Amino acid sequence: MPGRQTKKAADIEPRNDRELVYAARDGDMQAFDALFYRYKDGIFRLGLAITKDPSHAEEIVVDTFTRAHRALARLEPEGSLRPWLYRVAINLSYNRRPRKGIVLSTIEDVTEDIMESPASSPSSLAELAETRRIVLAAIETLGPKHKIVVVLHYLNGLNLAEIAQVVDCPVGTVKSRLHYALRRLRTHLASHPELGFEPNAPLLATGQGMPIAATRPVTQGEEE
Amino acid sequence: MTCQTAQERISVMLAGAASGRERLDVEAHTERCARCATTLRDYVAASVALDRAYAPLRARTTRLSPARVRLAMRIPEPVPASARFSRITARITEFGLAAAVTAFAFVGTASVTPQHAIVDEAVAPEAVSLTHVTSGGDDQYFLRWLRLGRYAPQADTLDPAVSASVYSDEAAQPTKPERAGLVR
Repeated sequence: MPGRQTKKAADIEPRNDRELVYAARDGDMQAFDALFYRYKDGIFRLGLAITKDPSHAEEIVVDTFTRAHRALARLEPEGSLRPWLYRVAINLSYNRRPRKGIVLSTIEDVTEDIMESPASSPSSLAELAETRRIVLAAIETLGPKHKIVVVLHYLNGLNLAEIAQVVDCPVGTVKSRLHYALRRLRTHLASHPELGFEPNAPLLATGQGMPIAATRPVTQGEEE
Repeated sequence: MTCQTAQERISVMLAGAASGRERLDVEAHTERCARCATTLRDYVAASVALDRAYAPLRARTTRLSPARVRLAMRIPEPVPASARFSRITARITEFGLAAAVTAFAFVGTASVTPQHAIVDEAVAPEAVSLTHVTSGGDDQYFLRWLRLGRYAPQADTLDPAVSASVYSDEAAQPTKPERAGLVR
């Protein structure tokens, strides 16, 4: 299938974004396709996290790359084209009116949980789904500036410096926004005692090492 | 280190952006401050909860292709090299077939035309000589007459034996006018 061959070719594309942009500017459509396949999933997830609608998210992917194609003549990416693409996608996502009543945890997510952990009991899966629902609802209470930092870090796997490039602000601002988001999230989750958050209780085992590795988001790698 | 600074560094630590020295400072502070230790525990739990909440979404992909972008921008699809080669081959084949059909039609027409000339000459009144119409009545003789009628102007080029027998037959048998009328 030609589409699959093109995707495989894009996966092993050795050129960096800058070279691909220059090639696409000269009319090389395969270079533009390589850029598309490199970033389409990340933009799709970003649009899905903000709009909560897969069809809107796909339209955002198309619109983002349409704008990128029109802007090829003036694009000068220093390293990666991702900050520019994500910035456009974020603006397009917030310009769309979000649909009400759409929940991100769909039936496919529950099915995936069952497939990943077949030994889990239905009650534990239901508990996991409930926790996910509460956390996503807590994220929705954040303002756009704080929410986008959370989404870019925990969903798209960007570090603080990359987030600063996307949102076009200093790294210190990103740190304070992430701190604010975590504090708000902690407060929100503390209102659900079944989740075990007890902000006012003293920590008993203070000598334990922090599970930093467990808390860092797992990146998918295809867009890195 | 103040509690405010420690809590901000906890967030940075969870984002994986803290240096080793900053991490040690935070750990040292949380060992002394129970409130910040609680904050650290809850931030870790919130971070893990966020990570798990977004886990299904991280697995989501889209099947969109760049053709959608080109369709939105009304850009024609690029033709791959293999398709270009097959297209050229198809054009050559088309041209060859057309040339073959034309040549066949031309050669076929050229080979058929003399037969029409025979019939035309045979049927044309000026080509019919009543002296060649015989009274035998059999079709074989009439066909023979047609052949000879065609070659009649060049009778001197005929085989002498054949022409002699023919002219001797014509001399022996009288001309039947009704036969000529039938031809006309």
